[in-house]
Amino acid sequence: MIKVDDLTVRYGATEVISGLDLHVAKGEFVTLLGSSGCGKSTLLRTVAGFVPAAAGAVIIDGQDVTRIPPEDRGVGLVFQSYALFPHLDVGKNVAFGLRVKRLSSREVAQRVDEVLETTGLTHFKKAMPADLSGGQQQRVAIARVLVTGPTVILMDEPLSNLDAAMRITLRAEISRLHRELGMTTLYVTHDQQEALALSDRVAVMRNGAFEQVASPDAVYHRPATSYVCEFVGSANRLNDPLSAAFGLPAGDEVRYVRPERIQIGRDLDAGVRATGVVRERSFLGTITHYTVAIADSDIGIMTVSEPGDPIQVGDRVSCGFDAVDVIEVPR
Amino acid sequence: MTGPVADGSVTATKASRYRRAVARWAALALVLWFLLTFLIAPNLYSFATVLNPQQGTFASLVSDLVTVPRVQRAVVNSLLIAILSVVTVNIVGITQALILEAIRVRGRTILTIAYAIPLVFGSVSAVTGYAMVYGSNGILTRALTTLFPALPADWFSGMAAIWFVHTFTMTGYHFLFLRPAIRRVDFSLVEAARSLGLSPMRAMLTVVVPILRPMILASVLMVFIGAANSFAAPNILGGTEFQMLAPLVQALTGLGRVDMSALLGLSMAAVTGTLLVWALREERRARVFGGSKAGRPFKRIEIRSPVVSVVIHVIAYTLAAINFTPVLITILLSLSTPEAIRRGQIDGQFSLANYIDVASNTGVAQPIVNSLVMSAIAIPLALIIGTFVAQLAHRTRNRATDALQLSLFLPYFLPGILIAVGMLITFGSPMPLVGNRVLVGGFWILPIAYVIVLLPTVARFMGAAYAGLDPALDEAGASLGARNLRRTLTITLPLLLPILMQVAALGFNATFDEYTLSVMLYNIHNRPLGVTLATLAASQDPNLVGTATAYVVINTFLSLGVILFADYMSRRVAQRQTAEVDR
Repeated sequence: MIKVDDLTVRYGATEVISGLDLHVAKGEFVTLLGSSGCGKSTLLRTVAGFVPAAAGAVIIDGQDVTRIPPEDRGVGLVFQSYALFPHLDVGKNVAFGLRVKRLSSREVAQRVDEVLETTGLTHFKKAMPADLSGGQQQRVAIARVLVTGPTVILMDEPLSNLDAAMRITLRAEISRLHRELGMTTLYVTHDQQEALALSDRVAVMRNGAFEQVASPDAVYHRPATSYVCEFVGSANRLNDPLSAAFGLPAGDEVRYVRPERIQIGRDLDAGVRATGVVRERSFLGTITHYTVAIADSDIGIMTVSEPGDPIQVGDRVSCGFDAVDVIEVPR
Repeated sequence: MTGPVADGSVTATKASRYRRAVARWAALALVLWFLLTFLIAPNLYSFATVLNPQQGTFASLVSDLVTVPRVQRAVVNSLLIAILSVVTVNIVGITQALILEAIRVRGRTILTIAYAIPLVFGSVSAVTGYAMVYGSNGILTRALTTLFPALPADWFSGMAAIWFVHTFTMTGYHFLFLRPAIRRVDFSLVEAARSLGLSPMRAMLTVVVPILRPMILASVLMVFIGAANSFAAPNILGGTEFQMLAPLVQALTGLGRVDMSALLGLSMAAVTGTLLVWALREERRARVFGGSKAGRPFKRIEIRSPVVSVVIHVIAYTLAAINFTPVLITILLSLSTPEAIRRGQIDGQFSLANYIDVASNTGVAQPIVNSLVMSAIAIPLALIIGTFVAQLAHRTRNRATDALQLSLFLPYFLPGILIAVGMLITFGSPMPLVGNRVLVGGFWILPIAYVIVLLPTVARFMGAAYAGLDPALDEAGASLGARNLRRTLTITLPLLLPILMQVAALGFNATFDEYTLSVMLYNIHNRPLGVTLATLAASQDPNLVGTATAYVVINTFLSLGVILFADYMSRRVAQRQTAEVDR
């Protein structure tokens, strides 16, 4: 397991992470999610040992590794750029960590073959990295880490350099490997879908601190702060005029409602309703997105697309949602 | 499963880390000792010698030096040669670069080979070759004196000879750097000029050449430095009357006035350093302003006028002939018998006798063997030191490592003659930093001097190579448990192999026929090829012309072979490592 205890990290005089705590249980898959510059990669690289901690501790499997160099921490790191050694073929890349441990050639060969089969790379054993696609290269990078049997795997935006289709394929692969092998995983991404799909828990970061650390369901449906609500998925902020238009009582919290929870139409079966004018309509295939003007504000609505949709720009429509769909966060 | 090092072996890991730290510091101490002893100390000793001269004070030393007529003549001559060389070298070099890159000419391959000759036929080898062809017993001289009996035999000596040799042997910088600069020019600028009514030739001269101004200025400065500090050409061809600065430093050292030679050398270094800094700044400007990422790639201009085209081709092939002639005649002389050479005729009766003599006669082969041995010592040592420092500066970036890396560039700013004088002063008496030994007169001082002059090249290329490495590769190695040394040996060095091979090739060409340091520091134990060539060239003995030219040809083809082999091997290695362009 991984424990980060009151961690502080500085770049020069700038404190990028301050007094951070995180606990990743054995076998758990935790994702650090946030925008660029929030400190998620810094935190990951501090756990890996490539960025020194100014204060606090990093504990892996019960041992304080804060001052231990990366090569002695026993963690596996998968890089965004794959970092495959270009002068070694796939087999030798995967074998690299085993050779460091001075295992016998027979054992190295056996373990390499096993992991290549697990990751579907058996036929590429003699290929050079330059001959592989991005997805294949990342699989090799994952295999190279898995073969050493680390107790902890760290992944730094491993799918960012891949195209959308390959990202989905490899995401499923990572999920499968985690289920089968049960390794403690700390994952970094700025892609919300990736974070929600892969993780046992998501840690949303901002300016070097956690906004919320919770299950994907909780982060999405019960965000702890405005930032989490707005960063993870889309959300309509119900300002005072909008709240009043929907007949909601005044309150101290900030209110949001997700676009997909709002119904639009003429005969609505929703608890809370308001009337507005359609300003924009975007047909996106499976869903249709509407922007509706209500009480001098715009709200976004996403519905499953209907053939021959009667709702057009300029139409006066009714919008509504159930009261339980209102997300309230402290102001 | 593996995890962090278990508690039980923490002590063992700490002990292992301690041992590794000790080894790292020991290696650093060794490198610092080498640089302090052989790079810094000689310069400090030179300064000390100047400030505490053998006779009188510093002021009186300066006064003595500047009032000596021979010194005054040397300064004037060096300046004159430098200015004249700058003009003619740049006319030839720029013309050649434009012919190859800016204009469509026929036979570009043969012209490229011709204009590349100074890269492999330079320094003392080229001077020797020219002496064999144009010297008092040279084959061309004999032919000319037959036609023009009034022509003095030593017509090819003095200022004119030095100037001529410079003109056709100092165009390497243009070949290596001006040509890529032309290729980087945005061709849409030429097209814009032509759309405004300019002919292709005028468009090239009014648009391309001005863009190249920073690079041309850098070439001017580099040629000026090289010509002013010239040593082989004035030493061999200068004759007794024409004195230049670098040979004068040697002469003063030989007369026992090392204080004067040190002062002269330091003065040359001050001027050289200033001009070099200027040249490097212009080079950087050329890279910034000379090209455009979004522009159109440069296309060679088609000359439509038949008259202009003929003129250009005549110029191109005349320059090629001038470049080829000394090489071809040298090759022919090396295959000729002593009798034919004495008669001054290349009569078609060729043989390999001279080469057999070089290969089989120990005495004749010895200079080549000596040079090979000393290059084989100096090159790996320079590569180890330069790579160690580059790696240290790359991994641990701070003021100390920056200063260490910069110190390797010091020899770049020092004329070779000053480095030699510094070593003579420092190691001509017992020196504590080398266990109170006297290195002058021994074998090792010369290969060590070679290491010193190679360090800037190694530092420059290895620094750039490390900067281009993907840091994630080293981190990946560390995350897989590999320690520093293992990562260096199994990841970093294999990736740097292409550049290491090319730097080694450059190092070989710089040291194999090196002359300036060699003539000052050699002794009977390590008489190198460069010194032997110069002696043979100066002697003009017809019986030795065959041997001398065989040496030159061997050196030239060895240099060419080394460059081509290193280039081929580095391309082969790089091809396996480089991703496809469209991936």
